[in-house]
Amino acid sequence: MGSLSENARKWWRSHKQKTQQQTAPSHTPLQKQLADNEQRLRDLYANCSDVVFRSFRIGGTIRALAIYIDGLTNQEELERSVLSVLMQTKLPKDSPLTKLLDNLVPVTKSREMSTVEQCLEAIANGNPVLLIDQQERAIAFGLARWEKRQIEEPVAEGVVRGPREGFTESLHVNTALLRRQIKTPALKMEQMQIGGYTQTQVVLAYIEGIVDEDLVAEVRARLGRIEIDGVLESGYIEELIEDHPASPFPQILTTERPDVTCGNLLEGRIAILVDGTPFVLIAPTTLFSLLQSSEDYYQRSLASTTIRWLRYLFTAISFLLPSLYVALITFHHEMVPTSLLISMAASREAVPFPALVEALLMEITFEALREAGVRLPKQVGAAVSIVGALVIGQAAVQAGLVSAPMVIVVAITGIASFMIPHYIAGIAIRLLRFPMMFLAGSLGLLGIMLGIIVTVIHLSTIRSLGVPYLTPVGPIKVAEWKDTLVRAPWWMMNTRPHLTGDYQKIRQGANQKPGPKKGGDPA
Amino acid sequence: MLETGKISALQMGMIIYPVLVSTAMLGGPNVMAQAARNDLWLTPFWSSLIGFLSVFIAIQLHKRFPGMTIIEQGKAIAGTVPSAIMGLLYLLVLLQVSGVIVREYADFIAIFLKETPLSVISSALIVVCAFAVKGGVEVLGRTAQVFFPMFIVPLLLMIGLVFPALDPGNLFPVLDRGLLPSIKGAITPLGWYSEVFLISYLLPVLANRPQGTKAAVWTVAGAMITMTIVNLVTLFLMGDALPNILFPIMDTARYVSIADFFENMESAVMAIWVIGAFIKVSMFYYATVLGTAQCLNLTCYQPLIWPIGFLIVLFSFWGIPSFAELGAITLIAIPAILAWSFCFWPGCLLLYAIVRGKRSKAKEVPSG
Repeated sequence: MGSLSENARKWWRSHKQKTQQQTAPSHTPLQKQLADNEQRLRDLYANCSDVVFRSFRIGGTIRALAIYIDGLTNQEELERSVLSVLMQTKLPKDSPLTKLLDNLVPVTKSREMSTVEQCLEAIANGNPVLLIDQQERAIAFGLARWEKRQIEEPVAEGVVRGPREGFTESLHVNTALLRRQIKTPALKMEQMQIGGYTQTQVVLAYIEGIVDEDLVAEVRARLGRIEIDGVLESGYIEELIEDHPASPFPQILTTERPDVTCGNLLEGRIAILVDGTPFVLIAPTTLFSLLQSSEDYYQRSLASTTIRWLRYLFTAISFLLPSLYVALITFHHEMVPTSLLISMAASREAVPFPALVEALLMEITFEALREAGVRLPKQVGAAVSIVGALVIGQAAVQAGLVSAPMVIVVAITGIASFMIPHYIAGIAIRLLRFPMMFLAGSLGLLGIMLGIIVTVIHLSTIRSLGVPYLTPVGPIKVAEWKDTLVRAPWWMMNTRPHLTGDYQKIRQGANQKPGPKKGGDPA
Repeated sequence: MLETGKISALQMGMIIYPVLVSTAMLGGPNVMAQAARNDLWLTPFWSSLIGFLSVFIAIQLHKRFPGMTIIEQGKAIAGTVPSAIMGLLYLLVLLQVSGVIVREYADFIAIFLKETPLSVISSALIVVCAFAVKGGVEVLGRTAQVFFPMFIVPLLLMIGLVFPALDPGNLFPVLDRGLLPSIKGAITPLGWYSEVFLISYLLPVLANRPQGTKAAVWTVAGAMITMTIVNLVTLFLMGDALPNILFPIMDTARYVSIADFFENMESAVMAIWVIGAFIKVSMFYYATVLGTAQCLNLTCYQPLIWPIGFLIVLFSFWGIPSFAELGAITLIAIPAILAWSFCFWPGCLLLYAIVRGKRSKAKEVPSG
């Protein structure tokens, strides 16, 4: 094993050097002659049909070259504000580049560059680069514009009451969505590039003063450790920085919602935004934060508390119901009331399988239907739902393959698993359901208890960036129960949850409980 | 230090509480009723005295030798060779007692799973406990906290549900034969309460040591109150029949009937009780593993987990041919061993340390 990973490391090092030589020679300064620079860039962009080289003369005399990628750049703006302006101007020969920028080109965002590497980066990000003869510097104009999805309602995290904006694939739209809600300059966004080939832009966001500086340093270090060829989704980053890679439970929260992200930033967590995906990573997280929806905070506190408990109950059901059913049918008949037992026995009479096999069959079928439902082309959706209803339903019961109670159990379990607001957390619990069924089938209630104990031990073992996963239940933190066991009204949420290290404890002013005696008409 | 984790005093209490009550709750009322008859409500009080004594000894030893478990304290007090012999004896006791606890658990579970071999039942528990021990004291503390309500709430719920069937008349005549029967009934529970001495393994890892004493005392008091309540409820429910009912709490569960729908909840009691047994066995297991590592001067205890787990399963069979034999052992022999090793022997060590004026050298640094 050791030698294998050593080899892998060697390979990676040599590979990295090679790719760097190919794509981005580190710190090659631009030459004085335009022809040299042009040749160099044309070599690098050989066989890249999407890269446009446009030669022209500034003021009809000085030779210049604009380079951009077709489709990533606002071409009309480039023509109007850069090309036509420069072509028509008159320019003394040795005028400094800054003057050109200041006086002539009406583009707000522009940057001077001195190396080929910087030029490549600017071009790749859609900013056209202007090279001028006899200048060792180039200018990149902030004219990037590409086709992107509109801001839409997040698909996976719906709410009835609450903002309907969701993140998009475009990083700067996402950072803008955050900045629009948290306007303080204390909201920091550190940008970095990850991925040897994709050079994906990643932003680490946090609120200075609320967040624990050590936490930021730790995340920065973990992000800096990543050496990967490409980052196509935030899932890559998640798997490379989490604490317990073997655990089925997600240790980093993902969300599509800016309000969820802002809420977490305000509680002292950090957010990692990755270009190219609407899913933002939030850490550290706990099991209970995976069971919370953003709408809990927008509804009345009593309603939210009730719904939270309903959710906890159904999370337990989605974890345990099939195995409880198997255990009762197989081992503990006496616990089932007689009348119910008789009707259950009657419906099971024709079923050829033992309860465990029956439960496994149905649960696996249900999982298959769910997966097919996500993946299938929209046109065949109706067909699958019709067939699905047959497989898990009356037809299966009439055929004597499964019993009617089993169908009900599977249906309830299925609904329960979708009550978990964060899809990934639901998957973890659905996965653990299967070993639980085997335990129930072999040891009955004892097996279920042992399974629960092992699960709790595992949950007690894992941490998310230093925060125990079962906080605030194990270890108990009574001050945080106001946002887990209940959803206290906002005038009671005076303190922030404690994550790690130092934190800004006080969130808001005390004694804000409203009432007829406070405010209103002066009596 | 072998153990790097830290727990709070509350977590320590929540680990120790199931250690004290889980075995006691199941067979306790029956055992106590055999000698004390209808005066068994007083027995937990007598037997809890040894619990308070054990807490006192553990705390005093820890004040003299902060940051040390009983094994290390033995080394510091008695010197290398005698302490090595005593340490090994001590570990043997821990192993034997763990074995008996596991066997009690397995025999109890076997009532429900008649065809499952005992070895499977006890090995399954040991495997689960091994995971907890592997996680160290922090994991033990957190799991104890998570399970604490799952252990207490069903108990209270059950008492509430059988409330209409209780007959306080069974209490009378009070103390008609004097105090002696209730004291006699306290002999077996002495062993259970002396188990509180296991805090010796937890005191060194407490994050808030000043609260440790309070937590330990409250744990013993809580266990005493719990046992008194359980004794009273079973007595009120079963009266004179109590000495003949092996697991009175199970029969109490049989009384429970909610809306004629939830009946025969014995299996549920079994399920809840598994939690208590898990924490109890894990704590003993942890003490055995940590003690062995300290006795042998190892730098980490994790490699010992599986071998010692295997030994505990073996000890749960050695010398215990049958359920009846187990009952005889747990009535006198095990309480005697427990009282000796968890109260008498540490007490002797403490006295010796006081007489010789021995203290930990690190004492000069103000602790906690």
